[in-house]
Amino acid sequence: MEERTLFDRIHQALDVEPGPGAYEQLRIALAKRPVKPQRWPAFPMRWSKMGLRLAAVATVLVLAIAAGAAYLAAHGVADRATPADSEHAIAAYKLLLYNDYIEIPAAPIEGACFGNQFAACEADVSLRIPVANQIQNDLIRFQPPARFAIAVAQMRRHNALQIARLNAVLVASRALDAAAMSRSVAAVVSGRPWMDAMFNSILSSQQVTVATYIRSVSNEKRNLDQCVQCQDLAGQSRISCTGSQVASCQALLESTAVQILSFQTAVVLIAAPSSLAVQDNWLQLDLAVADTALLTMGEALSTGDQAGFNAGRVSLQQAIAAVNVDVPDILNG
Amino acid sequence: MAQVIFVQTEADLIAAARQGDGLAFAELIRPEYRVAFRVAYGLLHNFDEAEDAVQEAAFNAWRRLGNLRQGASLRPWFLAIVANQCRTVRRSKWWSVLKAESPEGEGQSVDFAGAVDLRRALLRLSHDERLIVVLRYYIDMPFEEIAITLGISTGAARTRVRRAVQRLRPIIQIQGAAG
Repeated sequence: MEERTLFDRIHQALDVEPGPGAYEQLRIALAKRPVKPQRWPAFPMRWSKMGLRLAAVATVLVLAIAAGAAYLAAHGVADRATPADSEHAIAAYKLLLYNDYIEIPAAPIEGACFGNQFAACEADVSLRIPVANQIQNDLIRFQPPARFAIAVAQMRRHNALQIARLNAVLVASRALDAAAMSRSVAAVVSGRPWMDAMFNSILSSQQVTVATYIRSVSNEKRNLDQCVQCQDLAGQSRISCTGSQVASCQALLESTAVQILSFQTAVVLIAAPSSLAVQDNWLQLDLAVADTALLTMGEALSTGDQAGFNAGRVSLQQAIAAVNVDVPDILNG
Repeated sequence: MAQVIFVQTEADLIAAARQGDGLAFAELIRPEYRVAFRVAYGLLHNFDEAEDAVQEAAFNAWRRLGNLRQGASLRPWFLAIVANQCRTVRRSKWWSVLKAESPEGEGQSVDFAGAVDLRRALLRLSHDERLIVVLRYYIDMPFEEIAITLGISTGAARTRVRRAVQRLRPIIQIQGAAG
């Protein structure tokens, strides 16, 4: 048998690629689990697994497309429409986001934007910016179902930053400034996992029982409590981020951001039942404040602004303290 | 979040990962993720199980990072752990041997019936035979690297590939005649 024939036939039979964002989900899972392994929680729909399953999501969405498209055709998704958490409204909103998400170029930006590849980079970024703008327009124009409202507000914030970063790449590539281009590309790359994770969580979101939701919140809270870097950053000890200490501050920020993102996506993916909607809303709001504080601190760190970093840290401390109050409210019903 | 990027060598990442830095370990296996997924999919023929297997294998690899010899290549070591994880998954799901699945990416398949038949033929091979076929003809791995992955000699790797292909030959020939 010809080797080439077997090679071709096996590729024809098996050729698949991992799901979009699959590696990033693994990365987050590795970051949030301590080195001494723990058993997976008994709950089988752990978010790190579900988040990976875009293929399953696509299948579900195909089924939802008929209902969603009919809904959109019949009613439209009116600008600033009254929010409604009906199944149809949720399916329609997921469809809207899904259609936005699949427009994001799959190839990583760093594949085109490196070294002195200015023309290729400019061409690549020129494709990405309109997609990011379209996403922003949709996030602003269409009011999300209530259970996604806070998450979507944060998506707008993160996406706006991504647009600014993409524009910075464009400017740098046009100016033939390799160093600035590299810095801006790195910033874009760093912002992508948050958007991927939140898109996936919304697309896969399911309302669950009280017990399941409580178990999920409890797991995330335990992980947050066990995150030493998060506790350091949210603690009262003085942290200096000048000179050689920038790297350690960056590490603290990244570890905390991973943990907060994990919590944010968990409460979207494993959505609260109606009976806990109010408590869930407070928790999501405080996590969003923590997330925003981390963005502020990151920006301050990149410009060497210690005062800005400290201000963001105060906001983070307050948000984590609020989360510490929110969670017992949920766990105690 | 604005970023400060630090270029770290593989040795730095290994050292950090050994001290419990999950992000460092994630960076370490980033270049291997796609290949690991394809190996897992080639062995399990199930998209979700393949992604789960790679995730579990990643945690296993992290725990066993101390076993990676200094200077040894990461890829074959990691792929061997992925393959072992896939073996565990299949052992725990005996019924999957007989399960008929619709292959992902079927829209790209020119010969759908042939692809399904080949997948079924692969599933009839033993785990070790299937692994060696996947590594050789799906990952396009040289015999030397297959040998390292399986912990055998290069000659033994060639022999095992030949035997596995002999077992696949009838189905390929039937398809070839039909096509």
